[in-house]
Amino acid sequence: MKKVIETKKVNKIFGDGEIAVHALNDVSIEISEGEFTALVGPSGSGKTTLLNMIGGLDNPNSGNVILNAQDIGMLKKNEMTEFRQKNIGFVFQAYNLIPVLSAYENAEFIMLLQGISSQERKERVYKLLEEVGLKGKENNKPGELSGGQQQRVAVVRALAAKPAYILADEPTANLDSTATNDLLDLMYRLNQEENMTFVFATHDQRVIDRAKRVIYLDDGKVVKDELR
Amino acid sequence: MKTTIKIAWRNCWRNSLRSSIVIASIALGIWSSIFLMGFSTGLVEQRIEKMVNLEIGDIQIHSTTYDVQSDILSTVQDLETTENLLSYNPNVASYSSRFKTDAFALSPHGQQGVKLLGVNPADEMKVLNLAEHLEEGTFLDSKNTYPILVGKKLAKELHLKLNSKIQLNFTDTNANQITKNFKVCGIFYVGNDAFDGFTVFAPIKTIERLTGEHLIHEIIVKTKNTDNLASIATELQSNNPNNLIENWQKRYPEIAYGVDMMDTTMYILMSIIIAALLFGIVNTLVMSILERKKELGILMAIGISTWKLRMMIVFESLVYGLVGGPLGVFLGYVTIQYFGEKGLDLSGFGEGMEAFGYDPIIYVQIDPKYYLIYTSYILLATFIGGFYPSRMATKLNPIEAIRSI
Ligand SMILES: Nc1ncnc2c1ncn2[C@@H]1O[C@H](COP(=O)(O)OP(=O)(O)OP(=O)(O)O)[C@@H](O)[C@H]1O
Ligand SMILES: [Mg+2]
Repeated sequence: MKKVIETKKVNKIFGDGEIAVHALNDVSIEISEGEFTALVGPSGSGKTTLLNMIGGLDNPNSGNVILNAQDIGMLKKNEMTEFRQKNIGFVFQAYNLIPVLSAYENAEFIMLLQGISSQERKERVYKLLEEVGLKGKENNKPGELSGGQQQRVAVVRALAAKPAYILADEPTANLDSTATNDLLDLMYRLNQEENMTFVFATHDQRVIDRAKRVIYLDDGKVVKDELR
Repeated sequence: MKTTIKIAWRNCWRNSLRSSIVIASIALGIWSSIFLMGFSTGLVEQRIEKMVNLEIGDIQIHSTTYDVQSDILSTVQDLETTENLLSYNPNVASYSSRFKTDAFALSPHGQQGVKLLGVNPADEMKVLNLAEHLEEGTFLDSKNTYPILVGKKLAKELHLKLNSKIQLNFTDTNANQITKNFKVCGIFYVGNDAFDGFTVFAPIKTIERLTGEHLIHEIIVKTKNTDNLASIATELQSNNPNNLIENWQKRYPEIAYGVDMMDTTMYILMSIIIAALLFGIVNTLVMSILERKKELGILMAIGISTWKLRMMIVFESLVYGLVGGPLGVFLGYVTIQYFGEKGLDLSGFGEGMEAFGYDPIIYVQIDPKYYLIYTSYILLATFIGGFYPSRMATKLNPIEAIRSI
């Protein structure tokens, strides 16, 4: 199985001196294509920090981060931005979408940045929006969609750009249980059918229950790595 | 690019009240500076037009000694040649040769030093429009042997009416005192105290009867095209070394200087207004960026390039200029057209102005090129105004921005 994410002895320290926080402490993980992984742990354990690291949004103080066979420590800021655009899909906790763009326009946004033809964009977006049950909502602005619907558009946006993997930080935190289940069903199905790799940071037991692999973090360390 | 523009455009209308205020202030700024420009241009141009058409003509010819020693002996040199030159010059529409000397005017009610102008009424009327500015009487068209045309201010001071008697005293070329009674045949009113109060016209024939000589001190010239007065004057001068031939701008530099000054003042004013607008624009953009840090952070996370992000913000700024600028120019245009046609009546507070030869009714006018200049200035300003905020946006750290609420 192809490795898409690898961290080697990654350390991240915020601040210095007395107030320094060792947010990640020698974290080494490997995630392969097609995995459906949850990062769990108490608040402050370093989930978001690790996710930012493997999302190419932040640099470690020491250690290596290798994403899709690319050591990102080598990349400059602009190259990093382009790398994220081409390789990584993001779903954040909330307010993922550009408020002034419709669901359709949001969904095609990354493809636009990638320079994909309008015909192709249209095909992918319509197909995916239909798959996630948002047919007919193409022209709605985010403000006219429920929280769950917005998260599904965010998933479509990430997925449509054909990334190597999708990272989601607490994607269900603002959703009720029906919406949570719908979103999980969606991601699970995409994982099964399209072999899309997902990594979540979450507290949500419903998400943890559906994960195929759970990495436990505590105090910046990996304390347990469980395959189910 | 299209999407960047689309997002920028829509972002502008997210807080439509705020954007409207910015756009309104831009429009208002442009509008008011166009109006001010139109107003002062109208004011100055009218003043000049009046002076040129009623008092001084386009080009003046004097002897080279006239300015040094403006007495009755400083007559135009080579008169016949000079007049011939004028007659055959294709650029010259008409000219009027004048006797001009200092005189002393007396009436039972007072006395006043004046400029006495001896003119051929027919020639004079072809150069100046003074005949159309008579309050009473005629332009020296009188059966009387010694008719005189006086200004309204002088008439008031010396209590002159039509047919009143007025005594003029001046010296002839032999230093003999000439004293003669004239009869007022007309009263003119230009609106410039310096002219209305100190100028009198008599037929040159009458003057010649008194002096016994044909003396010409000044020739005023009307040209066919006033755009290149300077070159016409230079051309005339080159064939006429003993006289001084000057276009009005050269002879009255303070007036020409006033036009330049006005232009400069307008540019300064415009720059101040635009600088003020610039602050408003930058402020608004900075606020709007701070408000949507999170959104910008997400855009950066999902991979929008720094360049695109900057473009987006700069476009947002440009939208203000693109909407506000033309709106202001349009309002300015309409206002200029309206008051250019109807005139702006300042007679309520125009008393002081009138005394200096300004009209109480201003017909505002503007060189149309300024519409373009204003539009490009404001577009440039909004473009520049977008720079700092756009830089600020790209300096955001996506992680922090996303974490922020
Ligand atoms: N930018 C920062 N500056 C200083 N400290 C930070 C920063 N970001 C995170 N930390 C600290 O690093 C540690 C890990 O934070 P992180 O956000 O990764 O935790 P988390 O597991 O995501 O928590 P939660 O479940 O609350 O989201 C915390 O102690 C946090 O206070
Ligand atoms: Mg977190």
